[in-house]
Amino acid sequence: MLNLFKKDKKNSKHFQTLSEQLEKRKSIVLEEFKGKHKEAISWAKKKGIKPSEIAQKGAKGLAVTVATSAMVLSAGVAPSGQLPSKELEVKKEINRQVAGSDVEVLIKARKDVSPQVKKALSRVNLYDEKKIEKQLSKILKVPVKAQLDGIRLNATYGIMGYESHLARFPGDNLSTHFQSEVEYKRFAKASMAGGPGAWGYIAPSQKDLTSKDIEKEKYYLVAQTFLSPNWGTSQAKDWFRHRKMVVVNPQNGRVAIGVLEDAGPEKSTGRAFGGSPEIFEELDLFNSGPRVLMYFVDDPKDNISLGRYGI
Amino acid sequence: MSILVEGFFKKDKIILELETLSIHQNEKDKILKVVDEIAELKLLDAVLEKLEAKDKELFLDQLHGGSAQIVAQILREKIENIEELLLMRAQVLEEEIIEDIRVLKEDSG
Repeated sequence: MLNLFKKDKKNSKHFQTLSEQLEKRKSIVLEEFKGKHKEAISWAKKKGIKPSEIAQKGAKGLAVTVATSAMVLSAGVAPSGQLPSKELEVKKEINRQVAGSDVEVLIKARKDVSPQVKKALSRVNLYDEKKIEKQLSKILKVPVKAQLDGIRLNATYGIMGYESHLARFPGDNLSTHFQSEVEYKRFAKASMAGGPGAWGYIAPSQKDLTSKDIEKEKYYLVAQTFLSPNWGTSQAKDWFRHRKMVVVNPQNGRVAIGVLEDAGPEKSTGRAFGGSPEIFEELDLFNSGPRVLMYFVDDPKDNISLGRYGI
Repeated sequence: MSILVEGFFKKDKIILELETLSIHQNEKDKILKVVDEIAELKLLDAVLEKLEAKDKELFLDQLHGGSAQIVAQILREKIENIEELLLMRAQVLEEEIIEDIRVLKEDSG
């Protein structure tokens, strides 16, 4: 087996010990695997692959076709015992022809930036908008702004409240809201708000609901737009609707992109923002505490996907 | 890295825990590489345990050089609550690794 941790005078003591433990753990796991899955080992031999590399050498196509595999898997619930699809073999051939040119771009976009963000934010005052704009724009590689088009919110740092799911169209309820049973089990406990957000329903009916609309509600944000210094004009109200924002948990460096779909919370609550159950989970706010940074993202061409950034 | 590890094995907490050790960045990278390799084996083990023999080859073919969409389709069709299964296995491994790091810190502290 290739040992990555050849002794080196410059290696730290912690590294030596931890690496030895991990190599030992890997050997044990590999031996157990070989014992349990002989057919996989035979398959690997036929293909000329080392047993330890069966999964690691997963196709480049994986990166091309999946933004997040968890989303792909949760797109539906397994009807157990269902026969294999006849299209599988055809798709297999089609997918093998996927060009590799975009692979690197997607792989780079998937980098988890949370350690970088956490480190950068640990050195700045969390109310210092200029420094935070600069740091986040640099790390996230997108323009992050406290003020955009001359418009700003009343706060860029504060407590985020845990919101219920929004009704996306008239009649949307817990039984129509989720794409899979897994999603239902995970998020139904947040229950549904009595109706749509401050700007009305995201879609006029269920049949008009697009995948983008689903994402908008899934990663929706709430801000005190009524406390914005620009409040009072119809242009400002329209400007805020679906406005893309970046939310950062400075405790762990996690970053999520969402859109404004509701106004609130009331000033008396002491909270400055609200976030959907999915936003809360992506940022791990239950474990870290609810203080977040929230800034506009300048993305006129709508290139940045909603959800956890970089994952 | 395969769809299994990319999609389900979150290393954030491990990365944060590693930050507390006095090790260099290149050492952290090497450690995370081995952690990924262990995760690959653990998650693949979880999937193969649940697949019937006739489906294993198709799955392995797709995992190794095929399409993530088809891998996902096979898993969805063949294994009930696959997402929960993989998340659970990944979480157990994550906690084990974190515990290893914490013990190491205590022993050397």
